[in-house]
Amino acid sequence: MSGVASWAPFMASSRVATILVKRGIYLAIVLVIVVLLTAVIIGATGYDKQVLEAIIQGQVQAYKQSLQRQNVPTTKILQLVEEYKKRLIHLYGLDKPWYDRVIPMALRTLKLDLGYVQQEQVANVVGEQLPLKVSTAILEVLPRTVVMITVAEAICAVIVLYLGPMIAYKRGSLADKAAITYAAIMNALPVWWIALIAIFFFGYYLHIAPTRYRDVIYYINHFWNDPIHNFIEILRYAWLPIVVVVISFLGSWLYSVRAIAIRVVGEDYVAVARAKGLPEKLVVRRYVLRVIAGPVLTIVILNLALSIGGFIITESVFGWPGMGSLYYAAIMSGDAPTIIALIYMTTLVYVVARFILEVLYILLDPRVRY
Amino acid sequence: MRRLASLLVLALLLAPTLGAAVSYAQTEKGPATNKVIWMGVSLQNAVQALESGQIDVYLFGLRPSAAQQLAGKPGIKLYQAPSGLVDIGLNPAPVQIVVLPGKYDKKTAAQVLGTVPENIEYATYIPPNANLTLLNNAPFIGIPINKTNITVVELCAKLPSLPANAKQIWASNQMDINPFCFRKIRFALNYLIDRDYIVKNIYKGFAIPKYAFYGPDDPVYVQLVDIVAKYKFSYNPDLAKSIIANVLSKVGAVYKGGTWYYNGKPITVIGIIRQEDERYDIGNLFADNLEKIIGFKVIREIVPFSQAIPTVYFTDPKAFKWSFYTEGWGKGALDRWDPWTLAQFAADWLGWAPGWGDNTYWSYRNYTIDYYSMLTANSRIDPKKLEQSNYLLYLMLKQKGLIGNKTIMITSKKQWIHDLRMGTELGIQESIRIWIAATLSTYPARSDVKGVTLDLGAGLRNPFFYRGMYIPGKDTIKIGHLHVFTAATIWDPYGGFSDVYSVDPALATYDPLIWRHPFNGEPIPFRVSFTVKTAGPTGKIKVPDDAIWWDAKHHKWVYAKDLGRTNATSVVILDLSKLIGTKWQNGQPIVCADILAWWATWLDLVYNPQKASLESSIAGPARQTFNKIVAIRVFPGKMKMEIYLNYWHFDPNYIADFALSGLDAFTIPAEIRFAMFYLAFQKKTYALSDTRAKSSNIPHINLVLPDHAEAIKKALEELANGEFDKLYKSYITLPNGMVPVPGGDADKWFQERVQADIKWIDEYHNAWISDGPFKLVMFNKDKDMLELEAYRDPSYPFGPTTWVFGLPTPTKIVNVVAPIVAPGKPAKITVAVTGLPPLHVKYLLRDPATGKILATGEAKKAPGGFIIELPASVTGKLAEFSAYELTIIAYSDQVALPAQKTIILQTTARPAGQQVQQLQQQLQQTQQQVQQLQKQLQQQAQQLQQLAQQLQNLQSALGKQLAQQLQQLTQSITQTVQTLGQQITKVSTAITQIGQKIDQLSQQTKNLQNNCQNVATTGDVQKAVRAANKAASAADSAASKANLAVTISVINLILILIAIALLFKRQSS
Repeated sequence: MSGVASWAPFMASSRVATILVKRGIYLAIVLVIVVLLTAVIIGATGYDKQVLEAIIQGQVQAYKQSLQRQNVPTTKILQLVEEYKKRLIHLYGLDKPWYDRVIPMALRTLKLDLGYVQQEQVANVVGEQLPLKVSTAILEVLPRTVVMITVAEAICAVIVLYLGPMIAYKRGSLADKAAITYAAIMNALPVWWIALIAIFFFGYYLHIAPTRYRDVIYYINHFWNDPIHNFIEILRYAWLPIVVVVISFLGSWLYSVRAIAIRVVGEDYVAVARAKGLPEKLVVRRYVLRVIAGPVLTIVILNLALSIGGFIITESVFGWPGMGSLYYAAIMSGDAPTIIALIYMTTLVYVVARFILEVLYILLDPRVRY
Repeated sequence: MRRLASLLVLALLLAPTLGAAVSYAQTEKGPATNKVIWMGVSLQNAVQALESGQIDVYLFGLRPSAAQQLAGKPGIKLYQAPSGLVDIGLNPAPVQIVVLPGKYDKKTAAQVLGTVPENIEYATYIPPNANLTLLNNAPFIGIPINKTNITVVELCAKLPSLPANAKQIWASNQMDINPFCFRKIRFALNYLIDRDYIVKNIYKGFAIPKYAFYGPDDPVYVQLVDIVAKYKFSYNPDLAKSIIANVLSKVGAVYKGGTWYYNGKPITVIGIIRQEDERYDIGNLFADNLEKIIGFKVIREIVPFSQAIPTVYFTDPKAFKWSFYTEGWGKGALDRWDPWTLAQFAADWLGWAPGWGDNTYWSYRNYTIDYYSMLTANSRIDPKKLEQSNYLLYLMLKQKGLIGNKTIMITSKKQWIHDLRMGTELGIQESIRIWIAATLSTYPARSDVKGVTLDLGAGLRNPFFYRGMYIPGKDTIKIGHLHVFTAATIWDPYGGFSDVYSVDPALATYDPLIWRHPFNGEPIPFRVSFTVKTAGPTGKIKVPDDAIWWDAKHHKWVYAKDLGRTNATSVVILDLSKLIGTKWQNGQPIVCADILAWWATWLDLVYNPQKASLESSIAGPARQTFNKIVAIRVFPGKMKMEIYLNYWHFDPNYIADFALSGLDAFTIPAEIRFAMFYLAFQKKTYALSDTRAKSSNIPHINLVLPDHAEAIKKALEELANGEFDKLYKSYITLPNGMVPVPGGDADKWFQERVQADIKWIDEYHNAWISDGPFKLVMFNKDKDMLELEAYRDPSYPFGPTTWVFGLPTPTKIVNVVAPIVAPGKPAKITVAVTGLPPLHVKYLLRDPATGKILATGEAKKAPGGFIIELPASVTGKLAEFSAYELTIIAYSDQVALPAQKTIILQTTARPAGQQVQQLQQQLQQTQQQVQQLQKQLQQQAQQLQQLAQQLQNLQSALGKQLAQQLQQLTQSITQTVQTLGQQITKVSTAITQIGQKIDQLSQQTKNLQNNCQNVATTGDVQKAVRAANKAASAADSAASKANLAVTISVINLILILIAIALLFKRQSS
């Protein structure tokens, strides 16, 4: 039953390898389909066209107004506006049918040629100016989300791996009740509200946390100039958001891990182990945690993977321009290359996480052989 | 309107006024504060950031809900300025279009079609010689016309059947009637909006009610205020309801159970209501009123920006995707003589009226408004150009006789104001937009911030504020703005500065040459002063021989005369004494070469074909301005330059403003310009516009970013190594070969400049070197923050208080003393006004019962205020013991905010003597009537007698046989005539008697008047009244008798003539 014992057949089994390859191909196909589907959804529904047309109209209106204030003769204004409009239409590719506009874009994305960000709104989140490569945009924004959301999720995972089985084991105890109540309350309190209160209290009132979080970009962007100093600075900015996210999300983490553990705690072999008089900690670690490791790990890894996508509301409250804000800006401004690239990237992370899980399942549970 | 005044007074007068004492010595140069930290602060944090002292001022205008949180907080002051406009746009499209052969107007077309003229929106006659190609290119009905000599009739309600000669060319399959197609209904909707409620409850007081496209927030409004006041668009649902009912019932709609029906279907409109802001409540309120008060069915579509814009502005109005839309507009800078508001919001030729200038859509049109708005906006209409650009408008203006073959021009301020007034009044009557409010943006600041200047257009975001602001005892001010750096924040004087986040801080770093007055939008001298000479609008002045122009083909300055540029309409003479000889912030003196480089780079960008095509989005619009500039003239060694241009405006300040409007505000030194050109056009690694940046995927040069500054530095080094000589020396070389730099050695000068710039770039990591009161010493895009440091060079011309204008004092009507008016006696109303002089007062007297305007005029200035004099001729028209409305409008030439107050004017009994006098007047009139009657009757009698005589003569002249036949007839006729004559004489005598009686009575009244003088008893007066009434009725009956007699005699005369004619006919046959 030991881990080492299960390695040999695993490594030896070409069947396992075949299965993993099959899963890999399957996941890769999923990735391709998701990207193409996204492109079709954006294009065929006319979504990007509608958004882009509204943007063009806005820009044309502003242009027209600026010309009018310059005393340009009317006939000339109409001509200039027409030219400007045509230029914009061409720039955004609206003179092409949707499939010519988005499908090649999706195919290029699959080849990791992500293209250029189209809209200033998206560039604003990154904190750069156009022209801006989508890959640059994502690479700049991703660390911001990782240092806040992903770290917070990881902290949640660690806490919950320790606390979850314990609570489940002592079902109905004070700790269990407290955890359930906490989970219920935190489920009801929106994270942005906690964040606002926290900024007000720790930032404006106690002055121990920053009030403008956007500055963190500076330390992340220039991290390698002075890693130690910048790490401390990043920590100075990130601690409050991390604490807020952990407080807010821990509830649901606890609840779900407890739910998984409770089933196992009720199993006969746990009762037997208890009856044998094994120390509590040992029972939890060996008989509970080991068994629930599979599903719990699924939650942990998928949550970490999904955290890469960022959380729009939390980010906007802290003025923390992460992946969530990038997603939001891209969708709102109809920036098709960015949307496709983001979907591609998050799906890719998800697919890789799934693959890692497949491998881990086999590692953790010798019964899993498909 | 009173709310506006009180609101602004409340908000504004809380703060110090003009000329606040500044702690800095007057002799010190530069701004009032030493350091400014400028940082991005989100809207949700702004309030707390201010309260905690993290920032001192917030420059991004707060919306009403956010501003409310701050109202009344200790230590915080709120400054307000109008920033947006809200209206309800209406879709006036017809539901049916038919064509009739031949020419018809609305009336005759209605007759032919069997409907009422109200149902016809337009009857457009296309003459036989019309050019159909041009016609179909112009915005019209969105359906090609392929025949001439027809009348296109657009109908607001579908007709059940058409006569045989009418041909339907289009009919809506969605609507049978469009209520907003009827002009009267659109107009009536003005009474359906409770603007006071909206301002108070929806905008929480952070808005000004607006009754027309021009409102108190526009400086030009004072010229139009009486027109707007005339219509008194207060909330009056009953009036709205009755006007609408009147129109709808005429076209055959029926009102059943609270709903209007047409063709058996309820009248339905589609409301596009924006969901993001206060317009959600406004739209729903309007829809509720349409449903509950008027009785229309409203389909509400509550949508965000991205759906509303394409639905309203990207569809054909006659497709009826919308009927009304809650429009919102951003307000531009203050403009003293702003014609664009009329052109944009009431006319269609700019493409802002339903139809949006698209010739494939049906388009709203009002040719007269087009005419007036075109004249005021472009100051001319050239029929030949108009024929090409808008043929329909050309045809219609010709049909109306408004244009001929010659260009029509505005030639005076008076004419301009007249035309603007005409257009405005028509625009109000047409009401394609129902105006609701101008929204106020709130700019909060901590109350210890002094030296504040508030701009009525831009709020605290004005250059005067940055120069004058300070906190006593502190040397730093922290300014919060929504952002400091965004993707659109480009510090590039050629194609950048397109967002407020770059424009605002930059205005603290450079001095504009001309800027707009913060209270009234008039162009005023800033870093240069100017004089203007003009021969316009029609005359020309000679361009001197030594004036120069940029030859973009040969890349050099040449004499303008060699390019045939020999005369111009106006010349602007700039006094550069505050510019040349002072220093750029890097310590280098500003020289004439900087001026030449400034012009040459712009002219090259616009007229050099390669550059213009690479940067077409800059060159295209700028060319329109530069095409009107003829030449410039520089005077090396003198503090002067001249700009010759073909532009005229009745306000010379506008000519000066126009002369410089194509260029940037002289923001950066020559060599930085060359470095930018070098990167953009030689290296092609950077763009000067965002369109080129996007399409070529190269960055838009941004002088404040460290990596861009490094690129500039490298470019400067390369230029200093010989490229300058090759590429850009010609930009600063005059046609005579002279280079106007100190010492005349261009290369040495350039090297010095480059060294100074490199030092700057190394120190501050940006390439933004300018000439204003603050140096940009730090720009951190990641931290969304910048820092400014005071520039206090002794050569800098301005001190800390030079530009403090303070707060605009709104004009206020503080007191009105109105006596009780005796009709027929002159009345004087005293008005006390406060405000920035020169002040003016206008008035408007209205009969509230009929809504008629009885008198308008201007009050006279008097010691201690103004006096409105209502002459006896005006008060004589007033009834006794009644109430009239007197609207008083006070305004200042200096501040755009007029005050308006309506008081009730009570009347008392007419003075007794007055009554007698009036009686006398009546009697005199009757007397005159009687005399005239007498004369008429006498003439009649004479004529009859003559006729009788003639008949007798005729009789004797005729042959015997005939004579016998005629005898009998003649006798009877003669008898009749004679009796008639007698009768007339009798009536005449009677009338004469009445006349005598009246004379007596008149004498009596006169005596009465003399006797009673000022104290006639009521009894006397009543007697006299009774007597006069009797006399009047007697005269009346006499007159009617006399009239009868005259009529009878005329009929008789005719009968006689007919009889004679018959006789002659018989005889000849």
